Amino acid sequence: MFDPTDKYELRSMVRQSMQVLWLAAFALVLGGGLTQPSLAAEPENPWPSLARDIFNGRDLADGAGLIAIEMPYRAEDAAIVPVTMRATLPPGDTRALKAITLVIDQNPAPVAATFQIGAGVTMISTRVRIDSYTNVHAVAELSDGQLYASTVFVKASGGCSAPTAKNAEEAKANLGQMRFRQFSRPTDGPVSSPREAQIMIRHPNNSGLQRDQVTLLYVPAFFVRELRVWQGEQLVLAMDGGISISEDPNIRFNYLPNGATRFRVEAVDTDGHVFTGEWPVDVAM
Amino acid sequence: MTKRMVIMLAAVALVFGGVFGFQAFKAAMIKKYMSTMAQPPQTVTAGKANVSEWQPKITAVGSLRAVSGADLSLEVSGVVDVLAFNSGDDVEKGTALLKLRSDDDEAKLDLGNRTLTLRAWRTAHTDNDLTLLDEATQTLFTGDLVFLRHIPVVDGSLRGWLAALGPLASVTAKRAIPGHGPAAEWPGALDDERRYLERLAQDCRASIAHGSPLIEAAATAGVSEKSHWELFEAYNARNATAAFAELEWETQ
Repeated sequence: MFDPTDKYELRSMVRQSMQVLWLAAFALVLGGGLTQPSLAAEPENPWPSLARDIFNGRDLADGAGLIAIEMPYRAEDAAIVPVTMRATLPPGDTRALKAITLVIDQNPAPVAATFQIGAGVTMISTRVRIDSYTNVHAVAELSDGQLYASTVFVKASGGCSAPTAKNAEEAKANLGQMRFRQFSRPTDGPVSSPREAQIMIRHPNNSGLQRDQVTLLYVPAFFVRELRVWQGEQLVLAMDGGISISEDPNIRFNYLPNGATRFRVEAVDTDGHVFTGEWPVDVAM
Repeated sequence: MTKRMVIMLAAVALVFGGVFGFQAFKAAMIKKYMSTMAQPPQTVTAGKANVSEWQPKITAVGSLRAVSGADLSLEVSGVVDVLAFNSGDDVEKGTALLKLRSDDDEAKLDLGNRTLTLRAWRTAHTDNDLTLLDEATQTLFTGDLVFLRHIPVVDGSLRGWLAALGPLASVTAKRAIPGHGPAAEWPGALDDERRYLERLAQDCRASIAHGSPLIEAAATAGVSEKSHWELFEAYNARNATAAFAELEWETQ
């Protein structure tokens, strides 16, 4: 029975109401918390959103056993960190490598480069700048359109803003010079077995984050944005590069000789300079 | 008891209703407000066109400037030693107009019975190495062109540094104050550094000729020097990385 004059009854009702109010307040806080972005104290892992943006929400499968990425755990020179990506498809797998995207999660422009791959290329090795401790992802696209990601963690910092062109005058005088090396040896097998080659191009590849040591002004970004290598008329490798590629871009790769006699390389930088080069294919011994 | 429960439930329903009602109301109001945010009206000004007299001539004071002229500037800055023309002169094509001081890599500061010779060097340890020689005591302050005990650090050019060692050794002095390490007799102070840099270059060149990748060279070049230097672990692989990338461009 409810009797407003019963003090005990009244007190217990007040207590119950207070409980309900607490519950309501809690619900309000919870509801409010859900509708607003939380102020995360810890740095978020940027990879999920990066992956979504770079690959338009496509599914990324685990690349273990299919794509390998190798980098030193602690980089010696953050502005020249070697990275090697290898497709390691198991023997029965008939798919081919179509493209590799190299993503340095914590760099100001995370997509370091995208390589479109011609027939026979299973290894690409280059040098990148690393701005802070970061995961580095290699995402391979196979001929069936499926994406596979592998990752490695690298300790390095300051690579993007490290003063470029240790010798600025020389770098300017040599802009666009190219060198092509073929690593064939007498022990290499028949013509049809994979061979290795390396393309080097003189370019400061300014990241836009480096300061002129005299004026203390930022040096504008100026880098090789496209580089293509042909074997005869067949495209071996095409790179869309960004500011994370080290000064004097240097790419080593393997390929299957197709019988052509010449290599041709074309590079375009962000100021529209076009650099070209042509070299005879070393004859297998 | 039932009544009390009903009252309690009613109170809970009221509070929750209030909370969710308010959230729904907030969302609705935001939506309503956003939907009214259309393009703001543009301001248009209209004027009436009319005919007026054309002014054929205006008298005014002005200044003349030559149609063709040239602004001359120098590619490099420096001290002008000779000025070979006067204002208003006619000059022939190809005539030298002024001469900059050419021995600007070296400067002497006379402090009164004490001459200090400052010398700037081409890219070696860095691209701005400077040495200072006190002639009175024959003491050479080498800056970081000389490392003793502390492993040399290649921030500029390995080839440039090796090339600078000859001219550096020929500087007449009794002792050197290096950038790192203790004061030492000159030019013997250069011996350790020369040996290390030559070893590093030799190892990198061998790796390049062999076709080894950078990461291998970074781990092996110069390691035979390990016992001679402090901070070897911190800098040798970095030196090797920079040296390899530089020497790869040498003509083979």
